[in-house]
Amino acid sequence: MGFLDIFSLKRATNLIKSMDALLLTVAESLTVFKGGVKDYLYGEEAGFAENLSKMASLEAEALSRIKEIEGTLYSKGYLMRSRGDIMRLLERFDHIVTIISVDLVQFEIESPNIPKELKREFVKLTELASLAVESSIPGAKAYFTEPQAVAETTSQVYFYEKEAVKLSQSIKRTVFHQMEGLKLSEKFHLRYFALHIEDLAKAAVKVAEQLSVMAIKRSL
Amino acid sequence: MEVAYIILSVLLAGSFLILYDLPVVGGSILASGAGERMGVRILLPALLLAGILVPCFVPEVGYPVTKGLSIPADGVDALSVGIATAATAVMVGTFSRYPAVPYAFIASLAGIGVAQGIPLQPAAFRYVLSWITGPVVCALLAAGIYSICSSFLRRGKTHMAIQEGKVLFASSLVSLILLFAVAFNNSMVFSFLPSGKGWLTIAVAAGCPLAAWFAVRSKVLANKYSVADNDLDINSLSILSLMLAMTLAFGLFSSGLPAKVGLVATPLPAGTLYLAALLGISMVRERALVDGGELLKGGVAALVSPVLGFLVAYCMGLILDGRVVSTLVFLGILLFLGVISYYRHLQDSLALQRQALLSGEQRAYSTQKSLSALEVRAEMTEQDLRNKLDAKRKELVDFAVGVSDQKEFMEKIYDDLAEVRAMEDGEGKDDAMDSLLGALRERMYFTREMNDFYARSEVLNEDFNMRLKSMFPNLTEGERKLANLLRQGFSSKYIASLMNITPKSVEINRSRLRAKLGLQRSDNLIKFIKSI
Repeated sequence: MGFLDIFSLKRATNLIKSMDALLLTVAESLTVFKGGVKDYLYGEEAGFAENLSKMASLEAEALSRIKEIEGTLYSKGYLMRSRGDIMRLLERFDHIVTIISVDLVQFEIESPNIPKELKREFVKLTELASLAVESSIPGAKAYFTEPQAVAETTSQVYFYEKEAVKLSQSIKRTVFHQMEGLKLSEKFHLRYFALHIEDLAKAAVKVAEQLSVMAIKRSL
Repeated sequence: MEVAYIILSVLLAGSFLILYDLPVVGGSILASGAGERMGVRILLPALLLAGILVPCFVPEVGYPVTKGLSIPADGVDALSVGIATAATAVMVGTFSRYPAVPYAFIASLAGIGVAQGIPLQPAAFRYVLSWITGPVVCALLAAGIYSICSSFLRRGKTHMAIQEGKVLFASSLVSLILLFAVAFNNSMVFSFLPSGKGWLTIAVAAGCPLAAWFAVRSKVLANKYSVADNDLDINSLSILSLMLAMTLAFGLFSSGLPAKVGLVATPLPAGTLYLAALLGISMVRERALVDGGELLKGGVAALVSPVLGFLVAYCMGLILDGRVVSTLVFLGILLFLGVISYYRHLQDSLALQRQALLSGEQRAYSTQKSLSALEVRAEMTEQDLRNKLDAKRKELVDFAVGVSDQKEFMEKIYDDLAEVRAMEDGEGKDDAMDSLLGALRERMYFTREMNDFYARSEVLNEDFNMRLKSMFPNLTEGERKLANLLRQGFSSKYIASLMNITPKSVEINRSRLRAKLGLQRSDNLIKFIKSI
């Protein structure tokens, strides 16, 4: 069967399916992350635990997809000239899934004490960071079909990242300047979680940068 | 014997063909991605062998190069052609990566014939025209194929994986045909094989390339990976166009089609076609895919190879024919060319040696630099340590002075206590007692600080104490302490305070110490202690 594969496009179709599935896993992870943070902030313990276990399975799924794609790219001669870039891009998406998973686990382990007045801010920060990542997904898809459209999607990523950073800074300012009742250790803890959520947006920017370079390379 | 000469000739020419042509073809196949597919990897050697053997099994196909040229019937002549081809490949290989070995081979055939008095037939000149036309056709084909394929593939929003999958599919197919076409087109090296010998011919045709392959295998593989990784770092469509253009050019010039336009079927060098195809694609893409210098050298190699091949073979033919003057003239030319080649080779070797020497010197310089940096660092560390030691010593002296002051203060307190005892006023006595208690507490601290002082002094002068102990084991603890304090330059007054004895006792202890150290009256005690 493998012998006759040289004249078949089945593997190419499977490769597309695998890449789409990986991007879908990233999108699902974002939904789970948003749900998980909300559940944690509003004390929905059962919902949070469910999100946590779902995230673990999504992380494993992303990893297995990456391995599958890597196997096809490097052993079957597909996308010979751009496979290194494509793998780097997909690994960046996998890294995003890992960040999400680690963030949720940290919420579970460290149980940060988030003041009531900051809960809405944290939800908003989570949404902005998630939006940054979500905007990079159509860009990744566009790279494969319409590389000239990549630039449009990357500008959205930069916008949401900027907004996420602004909000994160505002949270940190509130924590350190206005919340006198909090202990210094609690302030550090809150800053640490804001930073972790902000990291998600920064990871999305890295994806956007990689996509921009890849789109330019493809146009040459 | 005849067969042995022929085999040797085939081996010589075949080795250089494999050495210079196979890396280009193999590198292109590898760069296209087709080389990573199991099916292609299995089929490639089979098709290569088939390309070589088809003319043996199907005599009516015939060899693509026997038209218009005299094929030497004699084994020695055949060997001369092999040697001339190999010598040309070596000489041209000194300045270009792509010597035109097939051109050299055919020109050698012509050269040996001319030397034997067989005039060149008009058909033979068509080879020259075909050698020019071949690369031009290949360049045009590559440009045309790339233009058509890119406009076809860029239509619509097809997924990149599908587009590349289609290119890979085509590349896999083309790579198989390309290898067959190259093998068939270049199978002229077997045109010497005595026809009609059946299995012997087939065995030689299959065995010689195999033996030649093992002789140059490592270099071929290295060159193949160099072509794939460095030279062909271009998009897959360009590589497909390049392979397809080369395949068509090989196919075209192995068929009867060129004869219809006044040309001849001729073996073509893969390296020259490769450069021509890259040039064609570069023109369409308006982007240089090949280095200009490399292209120029390739062009010169394609022109020089047949000329040199002809000359070398002609010269060898004259030698074999026994014509002395002509032989000497041509030998002179050959010698001249050989000297030039050797000189170039020597220059290259010297340049390489110089480069190696320079890099060695640079390495030595950087090592020396690192060593100097380490030495400077060590010196600085030593200096730093010395400074620290001095600071500690100073600290110790200051500390001792402080202790001495405290001692004086204690004496004052003692006098005050005597006064307090003599006081009769109860309230005043209580107050005075309180202040004395405080003073006593300070006394307590003083004792502790004294012990601390001695401990620090021991640590700082550890070497001295050890030497003193080993040289004068009969000294008491108190005498060693005295020696230590004297070494640090304390006066008798301070030593008395530090050791909690009177200055007179210090003088007595000094005399005892002098006696135990075995010093004469004229000897300086402090100098002696410092010399230990």
